[in-house]
Amino acid sequence: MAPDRYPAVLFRAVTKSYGPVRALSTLDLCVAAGSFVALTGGNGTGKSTVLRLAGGLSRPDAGVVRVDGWDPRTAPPRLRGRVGLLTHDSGLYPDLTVRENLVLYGRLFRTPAGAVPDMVEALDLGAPLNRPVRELSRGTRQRAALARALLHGPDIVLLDEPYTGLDAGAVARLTALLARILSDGATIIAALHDLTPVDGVRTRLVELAAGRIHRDVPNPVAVQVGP
Amino acid sequence: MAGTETLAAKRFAPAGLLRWRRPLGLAAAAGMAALAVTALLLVAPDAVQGPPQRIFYIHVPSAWVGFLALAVVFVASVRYLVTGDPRHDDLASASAGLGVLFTTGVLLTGPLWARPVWGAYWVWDPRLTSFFVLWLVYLSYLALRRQVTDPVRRARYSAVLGVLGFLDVPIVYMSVNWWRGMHPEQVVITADGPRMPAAMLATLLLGLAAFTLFYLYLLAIRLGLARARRLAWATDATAADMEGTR
Amino acid sequence: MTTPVTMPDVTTTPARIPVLDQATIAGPVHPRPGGRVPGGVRAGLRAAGLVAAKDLRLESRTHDAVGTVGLFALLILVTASFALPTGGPDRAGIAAGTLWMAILFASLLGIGRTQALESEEGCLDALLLAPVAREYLFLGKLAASLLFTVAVEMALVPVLLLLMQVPVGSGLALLLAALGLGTLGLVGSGCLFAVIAVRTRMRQALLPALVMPVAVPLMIASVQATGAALTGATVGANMHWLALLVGFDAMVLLVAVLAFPQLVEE
Repeated sequence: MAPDRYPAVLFRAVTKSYGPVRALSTLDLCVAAGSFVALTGGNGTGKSTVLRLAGGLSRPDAGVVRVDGWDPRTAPPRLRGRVGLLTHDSGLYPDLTVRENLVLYGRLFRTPAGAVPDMVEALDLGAPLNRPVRELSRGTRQRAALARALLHGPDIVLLDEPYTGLDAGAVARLTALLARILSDGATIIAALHDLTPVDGVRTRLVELAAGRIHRDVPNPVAVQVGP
Repeated sequence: MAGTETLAAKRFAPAGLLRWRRPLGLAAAAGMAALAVTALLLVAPDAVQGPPQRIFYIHVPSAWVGFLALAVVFVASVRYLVTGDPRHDDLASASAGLGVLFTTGVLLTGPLWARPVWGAYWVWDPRLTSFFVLWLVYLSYLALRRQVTDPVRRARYSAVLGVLGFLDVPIVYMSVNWWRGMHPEQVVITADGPRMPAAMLATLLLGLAAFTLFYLYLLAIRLGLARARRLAWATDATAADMEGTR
Repeated sequence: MTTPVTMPDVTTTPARIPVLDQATIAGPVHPRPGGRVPGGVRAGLRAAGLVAAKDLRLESRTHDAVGTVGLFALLILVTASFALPTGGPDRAGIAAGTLWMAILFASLLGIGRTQALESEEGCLDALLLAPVAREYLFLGKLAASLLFTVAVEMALVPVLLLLMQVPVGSGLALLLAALGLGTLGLVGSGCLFAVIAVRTRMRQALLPALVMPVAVPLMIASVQATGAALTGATVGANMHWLALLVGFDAMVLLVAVLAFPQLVEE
């Protein structure tokens, strides 16, 4: 494999169980850099597990997970700082303000100085900026969580149901932000229940069922651009 | 289907220690019987301590085996943390339960011996107290195992406790020893060699052998159970998995 | 001030579909060489400092770790002075025992609670994504918990001396050494087992059950050394206790740092 041709995310025969529940069964998935994969499937079909494994927060019981060629669990900073993950939880400290949370993560991920204001702007977080996260509404908290996940300008973006709780305006902002990130060369995998917000932006649809891939289609309205 | 039955039979077939369980069981039974006869009838009681001293032949072997069981937990825990192979976790959990069993034996026979000899059931003697703490550590090990349902995490968490608990043992012993000290002078092994009369020493060694065989027998059975349980769990998961793809 | 985000017309712009060739999809999956995890000691310590500072800031907001926990510890002391004989010939020993019981329960309560909070909101997961070796995250947490426990002790010890009518005098050095080393071991084992405990059914309520058996030698040594200090003994006469504490601390911290990365994985 030539060094610049690693797939952004690669799952090879990955199996993962949580206790008696088998979340993923010998899953094979290969995501090219620059794609936007919409991951769908009913509850409990393994979407969140895929994202956690790609983010390096879990270890597969069997099989390999590679993100840009590296194992995300043991990857060097060159990779670690390039992955952004949003799980079901916000990842925000409830008793700190939005600004304090973002500044903390900004410093931890060594983001440049303008990153926090940019993200605040993109997700319209100016108003709640100095309020503790605990006091925020569901939608606002979700926007703050998205800001946290995307703050360090990751080029591998893993989002678990990012549109939850967002109103129409916020949905449009998020879609625009994701489109911008995508056109900057990032790879996005988003677990979604409702595909309508991303219909024009996504390049691939992967549907999971019982821990395996049930359906895998490129965006039907898109133009295929090959090598 | 015939194929899966053979497969199932193969997966559950006894392996390793488990294959030896019948000979171990017989040997253990013979050893314990011999010990009972020797300790109760054949060997002469200690001149100073009298008949209660015979508990020594159960107490010391229990302590030896209890400690051995816990050492096995330690080694298995380390190997699990290094390799992630669940068979090491089977061994650790099998041995931990036995460690609690034999250590309980130590804690029961100790006071029974202490009362007639020292006049009180519990005297905070360093060795007995160390065993008490060890017993507590391994009870918390078992409690921890019951609290986690996911097999991989259960194995990992209990392995960490298994390692830390065992490394703690010499520290526990030193702390209790400096805090109190009243165990009868080391009778068995000294710089000049064993100081016991030959008959007592022989009986003690018989006891050690019998208890060790008994431990290995119980370990074989528990190991088989743990392994069967783990494989059944995995088989169930696979069957459910096949269900889902139909 | 940055320009407002313009929203591209996403409904009509065709999406580019990147394509992978078969060789890449089916190719070998050896991980790329890149060496072990992150940035070196300086970056790690910096991250640990950020984590500790975050805990301190949280504390200044909620006053849980020092305030509420400190109150709990104080109440244990006060109840003990009602329940136990004070001012008798044994008062140094009783005072030492009471102090360490208060520190034990109070610190485990605090550590368990902060670890639970960390897990509840997925904050620990978010921290784990950072380009930093995971051991340093543990160090940051440990440093903050140590500071909180020491802060509680600084209030507790004078109250103890007063209630139990015990002087300190020439034993001050020994007292400080015993408190320092004992607290380090206690907080270290607390932080280690807290990571495990919050992932169990009983969550942080299991923490005392995990820590207390393993910490028996620590309690014995700390109480004995503290008791000796309260009768005016010197460090020299109690080196064995301090040495034991150092050994215990080293063991716990070593296991904690080695095990933490494995423990936080799902």
